[in-house]
Amino acid sequence: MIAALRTVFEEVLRQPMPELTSETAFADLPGWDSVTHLALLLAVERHFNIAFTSAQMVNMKQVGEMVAALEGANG
Amino acid sequence: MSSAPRIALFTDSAPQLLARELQAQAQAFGGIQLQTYAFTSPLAVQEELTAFAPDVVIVWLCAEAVNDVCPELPEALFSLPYTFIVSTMVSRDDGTCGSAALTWHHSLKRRILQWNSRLMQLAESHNNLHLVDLDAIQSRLGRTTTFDPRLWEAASIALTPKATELFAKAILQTIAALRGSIKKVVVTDLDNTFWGGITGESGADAVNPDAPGHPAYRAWLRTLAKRGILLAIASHNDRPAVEALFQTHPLGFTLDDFQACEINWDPKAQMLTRIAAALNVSTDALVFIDDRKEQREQVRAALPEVTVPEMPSDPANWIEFLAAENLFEIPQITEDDTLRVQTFKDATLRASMAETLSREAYIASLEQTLIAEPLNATNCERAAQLTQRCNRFNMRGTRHTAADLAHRTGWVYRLRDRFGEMGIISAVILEGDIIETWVMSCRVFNRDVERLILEHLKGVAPIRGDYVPTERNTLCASIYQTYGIPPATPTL
Repeated sequence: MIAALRTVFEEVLRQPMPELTSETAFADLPGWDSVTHLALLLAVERHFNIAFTSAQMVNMKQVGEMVAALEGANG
Repeated sequence: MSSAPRIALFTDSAPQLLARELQAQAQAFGGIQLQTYAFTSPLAVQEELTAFAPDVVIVWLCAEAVNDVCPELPEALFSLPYTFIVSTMVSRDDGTCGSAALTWHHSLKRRILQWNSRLMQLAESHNNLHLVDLDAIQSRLGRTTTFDPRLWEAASIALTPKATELFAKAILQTIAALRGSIKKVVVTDLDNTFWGGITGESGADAVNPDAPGHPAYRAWLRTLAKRGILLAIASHNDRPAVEALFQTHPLGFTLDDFQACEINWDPKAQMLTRIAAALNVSTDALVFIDDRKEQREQVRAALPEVTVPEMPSDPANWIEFLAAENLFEIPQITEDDTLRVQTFKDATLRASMAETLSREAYIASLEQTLIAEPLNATNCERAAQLTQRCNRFNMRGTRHTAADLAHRTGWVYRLRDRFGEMGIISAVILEGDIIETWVMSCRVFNRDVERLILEHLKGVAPIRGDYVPTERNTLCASIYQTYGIPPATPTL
């Protein structure tokens, strides 16, 4: 799942991404800012065909939280 | 506005997505310079606005920020000498009043409708105020595709990325029109476009004007003509067969309703080039409509500046598609637009006279009267429109908006001849005794009108002027010399 997220991030941010771990903070990704963050969230939603809650959109700060949200949505 | 447009953006939504989208779509202009201001007090940032000197100020007040009270329309802002593009508010309903929302004045829906209505009134009375209909974008996309409440909650973003893309496109189309990129002519194919079926065929392929989609298409062309777009035909056919069809079938048109007809077997790109020449426009002012893909692609390859909409295969879908394409953006429609087709028809009468008489005899026979009016708040809209439209007679290649001209000095010229009223056909903007702008409609070339205008100006006060060459205005090059107008900049 983290590998799939990495591909989506590279497409949205248009830059190569480093290896991602659960602890990677979105704010540390190359090319990230508060506006591209929303584009990232929407792209991840489309890719996995899920919808984040508004609370998740506001609160997720690390890759691990996003993975948990995705697993919760599918589970 | 001669280079990349400088755009100031006032909004009470988060501006970043719109700003990015405008930048991304603006390659045609070579990028834009964009500054955004949070909409707390626009008059307080007036100093920064003066320093930034925007070409365009976009004002976007979002319906989502409306709660108990709609934001005041910043009417005082619109009296500043900038060109404004203001967005309508999208319609919203909170489901608290049912259908009474339309009739109870304090419902959210009604207050937004009234705000939009007031905005439209202001746009009618302010030459420098142009509207973009964001509510129409929402209607096309639907509410849930336009507004994502999570984006609003998370970051005060009032539009989804998709809606933002269409919003930016509409804004840039308006700016392009203000800079003179407007379409002036629609060129239509005939078989399976103007009517169903193919001329000369029988049976299932026989000509049927009432086949689904075609009457609506012809009605759309009629509406375009009423609002000043010239009509032309580009058809692979034999002319006598087409003339016979126009006689025998009720089409709502005669061939005289078309200002140019290319009915032959030449490649359509050649037809379009000749149509543009005959109508005194550049090919980039043409829209070409043809039901056949290979014809459309041939024209796109040969003349990329012609707009060629990719027509849906089912003609029943054409009007919805053409409406969404927004091919005929224009900042304002003036009386001269509504007169244009009629004056063009008069011009063909004049042209046939010109062929038989000597130049002097022809001009005398026209019995022209030139009427000069000082530039004022009413005619400056038409004057601005002339600077946006005229390429060949534009002495210094200048363009203005109505906002630019509101406080300038100058003259507009109306021409009347024995065939009728031609409306305002030239505008001169003065800087002291210097002609800063001089534009003239191609409809009145070769009739001595430029001499009449210069005589009027000289009769008022001594004048000077320079010719500045552009790609298209070579015919202006020696006019000042011919009529003895001294240069504005001293020669070395």
